[in-house]
Amino acid sequence: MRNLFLSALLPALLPLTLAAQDLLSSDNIESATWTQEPETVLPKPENLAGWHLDGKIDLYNPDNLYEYIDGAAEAYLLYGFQKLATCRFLQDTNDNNEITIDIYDMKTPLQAFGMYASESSPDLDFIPLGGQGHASDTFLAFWQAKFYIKMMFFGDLKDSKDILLDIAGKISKSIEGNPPQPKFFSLFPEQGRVPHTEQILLKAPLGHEFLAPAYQVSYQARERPATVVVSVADTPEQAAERFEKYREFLKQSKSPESPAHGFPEGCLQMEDRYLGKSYLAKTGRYFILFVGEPLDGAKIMTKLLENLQDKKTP
Amino acid sequence: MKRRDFLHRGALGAAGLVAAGRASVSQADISNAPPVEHRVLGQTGLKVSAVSFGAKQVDHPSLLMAAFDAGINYFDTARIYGEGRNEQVIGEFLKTCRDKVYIATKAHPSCKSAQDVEKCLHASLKSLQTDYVDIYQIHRVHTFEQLKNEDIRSFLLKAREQGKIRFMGITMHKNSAEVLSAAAEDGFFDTALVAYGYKNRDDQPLIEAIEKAHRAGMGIIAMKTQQGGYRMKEGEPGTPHQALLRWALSNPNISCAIPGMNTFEMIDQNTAVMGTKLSSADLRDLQRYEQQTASVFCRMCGMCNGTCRNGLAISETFRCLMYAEGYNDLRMARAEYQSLMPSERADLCRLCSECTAKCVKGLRIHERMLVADRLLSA
Repeated sequence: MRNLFLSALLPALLPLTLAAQDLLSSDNIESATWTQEPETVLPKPENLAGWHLDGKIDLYNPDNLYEYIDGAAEAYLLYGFQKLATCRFLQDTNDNNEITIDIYDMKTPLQAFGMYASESSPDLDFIPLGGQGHASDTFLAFWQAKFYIKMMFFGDLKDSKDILLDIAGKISKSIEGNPPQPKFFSLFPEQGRVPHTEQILLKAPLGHEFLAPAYQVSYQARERPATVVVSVADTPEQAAERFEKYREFLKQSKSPESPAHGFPEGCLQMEDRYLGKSYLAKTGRYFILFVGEPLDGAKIMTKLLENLQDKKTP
Repeated sequence: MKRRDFLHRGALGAAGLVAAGRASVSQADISNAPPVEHRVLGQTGLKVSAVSFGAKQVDHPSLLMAAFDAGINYFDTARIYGEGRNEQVIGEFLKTCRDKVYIATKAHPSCKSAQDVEKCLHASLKSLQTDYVDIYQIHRVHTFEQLKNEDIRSFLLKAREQGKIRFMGITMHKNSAEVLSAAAEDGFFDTALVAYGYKNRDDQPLIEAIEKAHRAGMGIIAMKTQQGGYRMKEGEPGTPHQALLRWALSNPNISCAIPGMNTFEMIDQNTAVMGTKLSSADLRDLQRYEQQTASVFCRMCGMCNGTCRNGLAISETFRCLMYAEGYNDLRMARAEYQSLMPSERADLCRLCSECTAKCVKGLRIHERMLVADRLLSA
């Protein structure tokens, strides 16, 4: 069963991860070697007063991750999952109170960030932990170095969030290194940017495999939202191909097409059936898609194009 | 709220994705849309699209809207998918059409008590931005103990009385035949989400359990119908995913299938299956597909061990090859390969005139060992 699942999954992942690896290797936080094993950063029972380990630490690898998280394993594999160490702590005085800790080794910080971001959303309660994290009464997640850490609380305790934060702090201290967010996101203009919306899309940005891999950031000004996607191609020719392919997709739904007023030369304004106004541009090996109608949209696109043109590394 | 309002409000929340205001696709040209086939979901009486939507891979609402416009009216998610993020994306979509679609979600698999499930349900309702879910499923029911958990059952009944859930279901990945059969006899749950596809065609206990559950009034929802593959590597034959989907739906005891879809292309391809019948051409395609994949992909059953007269580590070598081809991690593949004894490695295949190695699944061992040698020996 396990192998049937894998053999079926692998062909689907193959063409994507080639492009994705190119993107992942082009960013800036990959220089160090990350050798720490995930089980070594789990908190030691003797350091968690009032709690005890229930059973043992379980380890999962790419072959059997699905046994732990079912279909969700696919996304983890896509982002380069290597190993999971998971364990469960029960409260000494009430074993209905339980904390599960998952440490996902994603191989590189960039991949850890990518996986973390794919499960994050801007309305969460963010915390300054590791590279970034968020916490609630029942759930805490953060990424640090090559690890994506998730903690779940089940039971009934008024201070469950504080307990999660305390344990997460211990885990964070035991992790070697704390690289910052991928540098590529600094190319996206700051004005109007919605915090915590950075995404690395490896599968099908906006529902199109040919746009992968891509970086995505959201913008908003006076309730006028926009999404900016930078699709990273191997070559300028491939970026142009993506531009044309997306243009063709929009044309299928009879989208009108015109030069984008106020935008840099070469930008096209079109209409997406579901997403609304779309602005298409390309520079070098980047295809840029700007979806929405924010104020200062032209400024954002102009600045982004400038930043991408100035980018020294491909 | 109308779709236009939804579009105007945008979806910065969960999806971090804009939907910035234009007319519904209903106003666009959908004259070529395939006919929609509905089936009754067991005793729930819900008329669901035969091809429904496993939404776990969806990260923005426009794909869901496209699916809705194509006739899909049943969407399946789970609390564990992105720890609620997937439900948030669906919540954005629901603003446009809550009364026209059915939503199924699942309690977190780690829930052990009624209290846990209650918290999960409330979190799901909040993420989905709705007052109720149509099918609330207990995720990963693999044992009789889980199936019969009275504490959780009491809560589900209470939640149903309160109108927070309409029907109750279970999902399973292991011991499916046994659990499903017991659920059919038990009669508590309305639906079951079961892994069922062409690969299960000889799994008589599962097929009989599905029939038994269907007769008992359970609505059976099939997942993993296309075994995860939409396409092969470039130059290799395409996965006959439409035939795979048709095969699963050809079982009259299946109410609907929920293939995962993350592109518009997949939605078009899958919805086109509705209203069509499994043909002899489909069966030929499926047989061919199985033969082709069997010769390429090692199932790692280990049955080949000892069949090479030179004692090469065949299945271990193919595991290394999987890291290279499947995960595109050549470095790891080579490191793993180098950990094999030199006398076990595939380079010896080049010197061998006659291959004695045998694969019970028909994998071309000699050919694949040469590929491994080429890729991993550097």
